[in-house]
Amino acid sequence: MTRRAVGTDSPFNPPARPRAGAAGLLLACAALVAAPLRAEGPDVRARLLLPSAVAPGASAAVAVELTLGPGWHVNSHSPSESYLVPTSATLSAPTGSFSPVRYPKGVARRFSFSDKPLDVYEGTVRFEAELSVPAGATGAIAVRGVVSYQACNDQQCYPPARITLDGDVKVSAPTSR
Amino acid sequence: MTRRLLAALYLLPLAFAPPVRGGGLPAGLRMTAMDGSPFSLESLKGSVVVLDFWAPWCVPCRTSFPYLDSLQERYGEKGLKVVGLTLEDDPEAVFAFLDDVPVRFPVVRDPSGRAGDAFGVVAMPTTFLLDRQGRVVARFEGGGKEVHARIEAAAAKLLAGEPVPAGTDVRVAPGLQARGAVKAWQRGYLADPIMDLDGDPLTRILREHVHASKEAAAGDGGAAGGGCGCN
Repeated sequence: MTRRAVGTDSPFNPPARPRAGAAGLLLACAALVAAPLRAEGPDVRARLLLPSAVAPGASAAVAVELTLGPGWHVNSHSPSESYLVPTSATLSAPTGSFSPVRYPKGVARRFSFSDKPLDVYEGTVRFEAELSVPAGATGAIAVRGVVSYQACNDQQCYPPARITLDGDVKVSAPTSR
Repeated sequence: MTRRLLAALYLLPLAFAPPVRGGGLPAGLRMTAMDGSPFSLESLKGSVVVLDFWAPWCVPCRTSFPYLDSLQERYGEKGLKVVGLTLEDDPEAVFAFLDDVPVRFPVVRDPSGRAGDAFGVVAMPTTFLLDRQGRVVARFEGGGKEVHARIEAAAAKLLAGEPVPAGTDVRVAPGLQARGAVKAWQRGYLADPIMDLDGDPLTRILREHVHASKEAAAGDGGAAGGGCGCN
């Protein structure tokens, strides 16, 4: 079973809608005072896909999955213009090593604000690598994934951002001989 | 009494909104022209100002700039001043953009990002219309022909001495507020998700401390961890 570590969602969330009526209004305003107003922004979510366990000396696939909400896109890892901020993922762990991250191809999309099509990611994409576990490893390996991106919709672009994801991979017990 | 209380409560969220209409210029902003000379928005009082926040990585901005350049050309003699303001901290990126999209209106920088905070800018392009007294009278989010048409219509009103009608603003995200660290604008400094626009101030300050501590210790964006251990 694949263990998944849910990282930080987009810091942007749609604002709560106020209710009609005095009681509802008072509740809504009390909520506003207790928790600051939420803001809208890029619908970008990420999660770390990890195996539940890896044997010592073995390798296993890991991935950072990025999901863009409808209407949102990020530049691909190889954007069509040099001034565009590419989407990148890094994986790290205190034990073991990762293969280079593999990136999917982007899709060419033409937007109203650009004469040329842009190479972008939309929907859900995965950035994959292999984690190689040392032969003498035991316990669990803490894995960190960081995905960097810069999101736009068809009207505005939001600043470069990144999401940090953490999870653990259990090192399975070595087979006794 | 109940109706007055309800009306006051309805208006309460506006107290948290950055000045969009009728607000004066934020105080203490320090901007720099591309030649390094200081620039002040106060110096433009007496003119109708179109203040456009942009960034080198902003594709819609590449479409807006030629339009704004033509706006300056067509209305300059009537008292219009267009200013392009970037929060980009890499001057080379700014120059590269301007090489691709040359304009004749002044382009200024605020690498500190305070202007972005002060005006509540969180995405690009975001354009403000200021009247001759330096008051912000309209906010336009996004680019494109419709937005440009509304900017021009509103600017023409002001230049003719007429008020800008209510509802002129173009808001892509009406509830948007910027209260995070504007240093996120810096190319190469990627905003950690702790740039929480919905976090309370104390939590945000704590998270920023943790993040900055990790980055200082790791030197690679914090991925290797380390830092103060106070998370």
